[in-house]
Amino acid sequence: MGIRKTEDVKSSQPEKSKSPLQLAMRRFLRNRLAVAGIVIIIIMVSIAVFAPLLAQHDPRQSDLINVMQKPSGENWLGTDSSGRDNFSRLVYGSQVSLLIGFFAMLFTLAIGVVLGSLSGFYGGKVDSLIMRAADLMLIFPFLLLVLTVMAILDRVTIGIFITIIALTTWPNITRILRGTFLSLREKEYIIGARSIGCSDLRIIVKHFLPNAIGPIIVNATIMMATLIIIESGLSFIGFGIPQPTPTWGNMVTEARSLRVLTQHPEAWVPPGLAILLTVLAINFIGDGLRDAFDTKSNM
Amino acid sequence: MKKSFWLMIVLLLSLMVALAACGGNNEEGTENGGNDVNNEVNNNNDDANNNNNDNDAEDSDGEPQSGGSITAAMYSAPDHQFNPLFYSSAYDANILDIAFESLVKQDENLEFIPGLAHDWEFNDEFTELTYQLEEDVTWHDGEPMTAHDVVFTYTAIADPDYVAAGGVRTNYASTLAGYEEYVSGDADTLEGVEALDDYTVKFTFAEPNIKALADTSFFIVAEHILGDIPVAEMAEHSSAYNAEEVIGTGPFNLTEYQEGEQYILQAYEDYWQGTPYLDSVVWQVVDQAIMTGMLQNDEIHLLNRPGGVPAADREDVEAMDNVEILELQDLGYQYMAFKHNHGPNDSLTDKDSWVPNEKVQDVALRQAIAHAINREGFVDGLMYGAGQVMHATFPEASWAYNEDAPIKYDYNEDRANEILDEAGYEWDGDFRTNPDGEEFTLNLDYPTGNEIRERTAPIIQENLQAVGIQVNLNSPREASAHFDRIEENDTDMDLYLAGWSLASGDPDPSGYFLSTAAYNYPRYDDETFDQLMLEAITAPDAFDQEYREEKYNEWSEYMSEQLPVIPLYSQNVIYAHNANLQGITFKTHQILDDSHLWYLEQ
Repeated sequence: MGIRKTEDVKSSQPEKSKSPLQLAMRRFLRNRLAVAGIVIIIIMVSIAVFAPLLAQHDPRQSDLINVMQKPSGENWLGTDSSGRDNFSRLVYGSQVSLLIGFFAMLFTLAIGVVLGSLSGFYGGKVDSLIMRAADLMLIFPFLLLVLTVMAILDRVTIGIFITIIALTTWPNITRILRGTFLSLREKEYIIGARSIGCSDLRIIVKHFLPNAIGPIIVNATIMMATLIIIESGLSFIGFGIPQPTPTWGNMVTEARSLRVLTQHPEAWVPPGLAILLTVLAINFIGDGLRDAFDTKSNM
Repeated sequence: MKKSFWLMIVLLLSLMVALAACGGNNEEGTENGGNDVNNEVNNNNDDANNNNNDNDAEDSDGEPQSGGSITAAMYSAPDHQFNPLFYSSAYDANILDIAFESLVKQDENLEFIPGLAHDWEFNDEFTELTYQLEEDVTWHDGEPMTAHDVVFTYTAIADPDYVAAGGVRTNYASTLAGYEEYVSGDADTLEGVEALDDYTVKFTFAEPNIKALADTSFFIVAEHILGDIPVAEMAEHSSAYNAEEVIGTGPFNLTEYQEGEQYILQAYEDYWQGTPYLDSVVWQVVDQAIMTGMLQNDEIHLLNRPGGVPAADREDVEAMDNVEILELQDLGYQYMAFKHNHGPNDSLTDKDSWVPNEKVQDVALRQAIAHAINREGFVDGLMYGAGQVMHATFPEASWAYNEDAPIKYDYNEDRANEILDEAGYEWDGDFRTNPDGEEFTLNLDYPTGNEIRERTAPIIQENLQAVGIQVNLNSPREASAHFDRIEENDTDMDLYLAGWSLASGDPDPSGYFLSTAAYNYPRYDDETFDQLMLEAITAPDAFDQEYREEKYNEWSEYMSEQLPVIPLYSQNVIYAHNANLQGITFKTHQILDDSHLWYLEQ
């Protein structure tokens, strides 16, 4: 979402000589899968934004007289085991999944950028402190850690969920950024900036980050796809966002029952497809971006 | 590009598989519990009896064969408390029921029949009960079982440290003569139980006891295993969880287990009623959603309470050629409790430390809540009609059930709103305030595992919010964590969901509703309520069943007016077993008796 905006702004600029970003943009637009990904994501985002217009039912409202109904004019995808409208849940589920994917990504990225740049810029003790902390986090089996935290908490809300995910997934992006910064550290322009007395903050913000934008965007995109899968997976096993909040993972949970699996495909195929499409699309975009930012690849 | 595309598909799929696998395990660990209460419920459910007879006829067709192993399934993990004196969940009971035995057990009609004791007699006043024990019973380690083990068992339940150590079975000892003196530490021995010789044991009751057989029907434990452990430490001792030290007299012996996954019980070859036909019984903890699929694939042979086959899957299971099912009305039921008292410590008995939970003290509020919850909808929608709405805590199968006794709260939002308006709960924005004009929110806790119960929680929240009562629905906990939690006083819990599965025949609810009962999780304390329950079991009047019925009617009415808990529903149990598994005796209260006669047709 955020990415798309950047591109629009850039591409609408009048044609001058080609900046690296413009070159990247061109390479990106030639990648058909990546463009298809963008289209799918735009559709998903508009579904999420216009959910109240698309869904004719309250996705949390149970209806015990109409439980496990087959699709009908009233309930386009039938109802779930508590009589909630599956179509409305599918539509509103996109809000939750995308929100969690996007904000968990932003949060993780924020932690990663701050810690990664500190680590890469200062090196030495700061670096080893942050890297050991990252190692410590990586040692814990991710799923086990998250499950334990979820089990302790009384109440898991979307905000808490995002925070937990961010606090457990930051080491990867931190390491990647640290590596990037370490390689930038010895570049002439950094040494130059340093020699004319730029403050640390200025060097990081003005010289480090813009030059690391490629890896940051690529990793952030792919991370978002992973986070959406994590949310669905955790909801599927009952440790994610609790019912009755509609999420795609919560919807797919119903298919654990053999009866739903075999006789009610309308209840679980659409949310399953939605997860698949969204994650595939985001990964295509991520791939496209990676190729686009790779200066070694041809036009 | 192409390569990474396929790589990603593969990764995606493997991630899904990994998550799906986790799904199985994790959900297995969770779910429901009725806690097992060994009160007895007399039953005159003709349907149930007919079903039993049909089944017996079927079972007698083939010749029993030795050998083979069966897998039985439950949807929540036990608490791993395998000392019968201290267990409290229905999941532990699944294992204990085939590893331990009691002096007497109940038949299909809930009449008492011989167990470890082959004969018994009362004195004329019904204050003394003398049992003659079977003489060839041995423990799983080969030691003979004697009257001293019986004395040890009941003395341990009466121990001054028993309740503090976590024991909830005091109702089995509290009617014995000398209980008060012994439990307070004033006496060194318990007067009420005495071994006359190695195979004769005499129980003496403080007053004529109308349910003496029920009171003496608890599991017998081995003195030579537990005798040296102080009762205060018994629940935590290795004998409670180390499979090798779980020694009973039953047909199967717990030999090993993987926590939360499976529990393996091997046949005890020297079992006194003959070597069991089966080599072993394996209990697996399986997500309720996948049980039906496993039944179809012959992966599980037996689905027992709590739960059984989900009502929604009934038709599918019925259609399977390799599976036979049997639907019986449950003696247990589900309820939503109000947490009436909190407190700084977890004391059950020290009522002085209790602090009333002001939010739920108002009877009008509780009555409004009863009107607001769509219990009829639970039965029709979530259970596909295979259950009953409960208005009092006696299920239809019990002789204490009287349709007309309790006040019935139908699902009626308007009535709920009226009551709340009258009681001064004013609307303020989306929700109501309490009569003092302050905002108030009720916290509702519920466990995972029992799918129907899991589904009711968000609906209860929705129902209550529809009449303006704000409900904070906490994330569901794994069942054993939930039941630990509701025992605590020091929480901010206002409402919780739970169930009782009543294992035996007498309808006396004092074991879990009396304010001093360890099972009094709601921490409800009401004199009239207690008194009615006690009157119903006080001799000599209580020898007259009509008198008791009257008392229970009074109690039901009082309870339905005060609503210390809201009885929700009683769900029919749909037992299912593989067609090759034969010889099961289906009784209304349980099906695990006589497991040595189970056999696999090969």
